[in-house]
Amino acid sequence: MFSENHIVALRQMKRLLVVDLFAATSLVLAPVVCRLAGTSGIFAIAAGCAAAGLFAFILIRIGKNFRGSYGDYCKETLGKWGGAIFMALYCVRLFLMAAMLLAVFAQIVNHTFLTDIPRGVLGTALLLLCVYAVFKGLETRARMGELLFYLAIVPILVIVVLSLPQVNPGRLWPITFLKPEQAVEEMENIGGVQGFAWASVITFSMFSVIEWLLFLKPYVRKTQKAAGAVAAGLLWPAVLNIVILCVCIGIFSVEGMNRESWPVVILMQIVRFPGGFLSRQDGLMLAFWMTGMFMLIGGNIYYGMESLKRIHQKLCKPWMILFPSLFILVVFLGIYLQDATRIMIRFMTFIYMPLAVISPLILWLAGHRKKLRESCGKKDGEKDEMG
Amino acid sequence: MHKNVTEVFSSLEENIRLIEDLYKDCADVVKRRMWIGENHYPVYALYMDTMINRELVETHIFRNLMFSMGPVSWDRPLDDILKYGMITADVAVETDLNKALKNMMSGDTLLFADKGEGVLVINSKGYPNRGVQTAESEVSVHGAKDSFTESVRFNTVLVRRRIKDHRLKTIQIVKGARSKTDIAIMYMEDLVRPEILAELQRRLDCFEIDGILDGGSLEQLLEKKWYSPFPQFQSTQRPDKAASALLEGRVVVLADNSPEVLMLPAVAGCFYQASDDYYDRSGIASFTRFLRYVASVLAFSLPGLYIAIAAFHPEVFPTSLALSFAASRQGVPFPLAVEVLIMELAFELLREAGIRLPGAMGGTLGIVGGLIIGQAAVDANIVSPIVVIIVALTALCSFTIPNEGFASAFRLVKFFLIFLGMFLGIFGFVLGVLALLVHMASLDSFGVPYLMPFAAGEVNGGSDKKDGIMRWPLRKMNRRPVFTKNGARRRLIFKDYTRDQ
Repeated sequence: MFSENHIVALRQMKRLLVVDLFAATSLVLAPVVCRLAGTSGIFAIAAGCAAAGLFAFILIRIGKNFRGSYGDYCKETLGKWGGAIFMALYCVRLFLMAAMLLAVFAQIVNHTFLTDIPRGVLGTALLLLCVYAVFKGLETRARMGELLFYLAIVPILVIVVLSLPQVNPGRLWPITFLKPEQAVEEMENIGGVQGFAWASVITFSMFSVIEWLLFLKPYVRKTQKAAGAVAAGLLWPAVLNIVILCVCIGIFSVEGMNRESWPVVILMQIVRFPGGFLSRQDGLMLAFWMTGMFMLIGGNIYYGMESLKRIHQKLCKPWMILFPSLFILVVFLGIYLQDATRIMIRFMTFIYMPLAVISPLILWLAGHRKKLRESCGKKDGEKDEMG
Repeated sequence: MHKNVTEVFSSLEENIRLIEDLYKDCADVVKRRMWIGENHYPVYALYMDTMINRELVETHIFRNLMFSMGPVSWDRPLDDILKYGMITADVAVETDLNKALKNMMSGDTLLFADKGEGVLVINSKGYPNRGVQTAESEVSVHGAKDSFTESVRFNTVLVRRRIKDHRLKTIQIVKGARSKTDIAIMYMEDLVRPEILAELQRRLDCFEIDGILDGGSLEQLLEKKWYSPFPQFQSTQRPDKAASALLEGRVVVLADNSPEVLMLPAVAGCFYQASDDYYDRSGIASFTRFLRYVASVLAFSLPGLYIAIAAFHPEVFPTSLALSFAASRQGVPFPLAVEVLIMELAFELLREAGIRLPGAMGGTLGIVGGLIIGQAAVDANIVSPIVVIIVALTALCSFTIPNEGFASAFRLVKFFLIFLGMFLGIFGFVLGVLALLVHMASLDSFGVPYLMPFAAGEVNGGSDKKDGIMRWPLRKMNRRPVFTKNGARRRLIFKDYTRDQ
């Protein structure tokens, strides 16, 4: 019946987007943006998200040309070998991203609430779970997104609401670019318009995960309503990140935030639940955050595998997932944990995002050119018949 | 059976020789030559002792045949016996010998006649039965108290009493090469999805087994993901629940000799529904339903979460609570995780022993185990009081789940989370919960996602959520759930009579 019809409902797509985008950004984006742009980071996030929205719109337009999957469209447009190379680039990029997210996860967990467990154990355990989820297919992933939506969002919302009494609105005003005295010394390109621009670019980079719409599109039935679902899927993480930034600045101030490695985690530590039955809840809140990271890492592996399968038919065997998993594990273990977040942000800004933007545009141009050729060829044929 | 013999012989002597051979050394099979009618026509009666309704067969049918019947024609004896000798309407002529003998072993009486084209199969079932009793495992405060019995025919009648609709169909099949168990498949013709019926039939055709002794065996053979601890069929002893399932477009499978029936498809939400939910007002029904959900989460997560937090993240607890826990654990020689495991295993032993003991002793065991052993273990510093409370609370929570099969799954999952929490703290606990969710999200029951209505909730316009965690007022639940075929989902048209006043 409809359990294995390989269709993702719009609600599921929207929730998947929210969970994936929020997991990628919730702990990382606010401190990075604050270090680059100060209070103007609010508008930097808005600008980055607006750009992501435009990008999503373009992707939806491109997706209308698909007759089958994204991989099939690549092969149709670029030919068998061109399509295979294209997909190979996607799969390497996505697997690298998965490894880096795993490293970021291990970094945060190791530094905050599980200092004694080796990172190899943390990373391997989460990787195994992600591989298990990938094995179960897209519909399982979509249902998980639907279920975990509340687990990923509600705890952060609760933290934000409980911390509101401690927010000093005066620290948010005036909304200006980062001043030199507020800067952290080792950061580059900070402050002023440049800092604001970089903050917007980094926001857009982190939201470039929206490119997964290209892989999801063939499974979504009501494509005419997809734009609304995508917009909602973008809006939630955007608003939540802006709220988190405002709350963090309101409590810590810009200088205070720039001195902390994980201000959002500190926020979870200092907030008190009413009733006093929990003394510290950052561990519990991070546990909820884990669910979002699980979805995000799993998503990278899933779409990476989808790309891998499109390279050659022989790669479609279920046990093939072993090799990318080993690759991810090796890369993860090779990343120095202290720099994991910085490496991930740089990777997203300089490699992941540019390729995410350029690839569909190249495809679209190639497809457009192919159509023009075909229509010219038709016209020549008609002229010959008439002549 | 004689391999080559499938048809009934026309010669009475040959039939008698065959029957004598087949049922040699079967003291419970009654065989008798008789001469009936005015012209003393030779016949041969065959039935299972104590499985028949003796009064019907011997007092009425045989008496009529021997003393009241006219001459029996030599060329069409069975026709005459059927028309003039039978006082019951439930008689058929059967030419397939195997079928006839199977019916005989189910409680029918066979009557062979010389030169007859077949054998008369007289429905005379009267086997011992404990009668309709109160449901033991699904007790309800409101609603009917009757429960299914071991007779498939009684059980179908109990359902028919509640649905007096000609569209309620009953298909009967036989499974089990030796047990020849009667399986009845009931469904509402205009509500059921044809693909579910087809899939059920396909699965029933996929196996051959020597005997089906209970619906539980059938369930395990029909499940797609047999390795999952979660049941993909819902079993019940209550006829009202079965009738309710039929009215939702589900299929009910009844096996002879089994007091439990199987309902399919079965999603996770079904296992939290108790009959009382629909007989009570929506407020209290919603409250108890919500309580069940919370209890089910505690049933599998509480011990593991306690170990994860107390052993790895004690700073989560307020200082006074942490000190209280630490004080209660003073002198306990075992690590926290071992304490919890000891108590959990002890409880499982108690539970198992309580099932095996006779009724009168079972209650005593509860007192002995719960009070004396538990208290003794605490006094001896083997376990701390807090662990006893955790385990007791977990057990109480598991008993609130109406379906025993579903609750059993959580009993296993609980140990999985205990082990993960023991080694990896809250990280391991969350991994375990996520793995559980992934597994459940990947399950389906005859094409319906197992986690409905929480996943794939948009299907059926979201109306399945009205019977999810909360139970909406009955007058608002006007659509059948997703199990019903498209176009047949409307079940209630409610006119608000208060508006006319």
